[in-house]
Amino acid sequence: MNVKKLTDEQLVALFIETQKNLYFEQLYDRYSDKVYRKCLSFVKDDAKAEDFTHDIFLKLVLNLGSYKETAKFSTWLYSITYNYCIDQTRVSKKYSEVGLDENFDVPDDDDDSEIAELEAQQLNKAMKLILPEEKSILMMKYQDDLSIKEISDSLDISESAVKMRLLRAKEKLRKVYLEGVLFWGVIIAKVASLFFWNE
Amino acid sequence: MSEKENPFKLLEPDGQVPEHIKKALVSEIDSIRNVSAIVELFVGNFIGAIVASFSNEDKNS
Repeated sequence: MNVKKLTDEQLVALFIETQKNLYFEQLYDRYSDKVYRKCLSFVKDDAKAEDFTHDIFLKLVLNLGSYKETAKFSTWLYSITYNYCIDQTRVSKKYSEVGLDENFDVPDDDDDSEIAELEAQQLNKAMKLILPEEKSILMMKYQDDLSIKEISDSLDISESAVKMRLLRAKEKLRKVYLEGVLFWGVIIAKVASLFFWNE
Repeated sequence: MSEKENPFKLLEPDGQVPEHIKKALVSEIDSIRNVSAIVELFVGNFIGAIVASFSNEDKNS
């Protein structure tokens, strides 16, 4: 049997049934780099990202029995990854903003044109300044292209709550991003004014 | 939003997980499996031994 041709879900079923490492190794080969890069975007430290990757895959093996095939294996694995990274990097302080009721019906916010306008380097800096929970939900939506339903299943919250959290995270990101752009704009203007003043 | 105009796609860092992590994981999985097999055998045999000893006591009395 060529394990490379098997789907993720088939590999999981065969690993549970036979307990042969061959099937786990194939899953690991498919996703380890992806998981490692996600960890790296949370911790920015190679050694820590390696430890996180190790722990996430160990957690995966120990929880394989609870995997339900209603969700894609990759979605399930990424949700373990994000939850683990959030837990490890969690800032103890609570949200300072007043909590909004996440259960009321939030309108769909499909207008992602604002996101497309952001510049990658500034966006990267802004992403470091928001909470890990906000970062992970944005990554799920815009990096992994998960649907609202898939995010809601991964985080075990309602779809309205996902929409609300996405909306808040986008607002915060935009605010931090604009502050960064404004900061550099002022610096450049200052340098330019000094330069022209001397001439 | 296409991949070209999505700046989030550009944020993913490069990097590959080192080979030794896989070896460490596989050996840990083997250890966990071995320990659970030992525990299972011990508990199974222990309970079996207790049951057998009680049934012998019943026969003797």
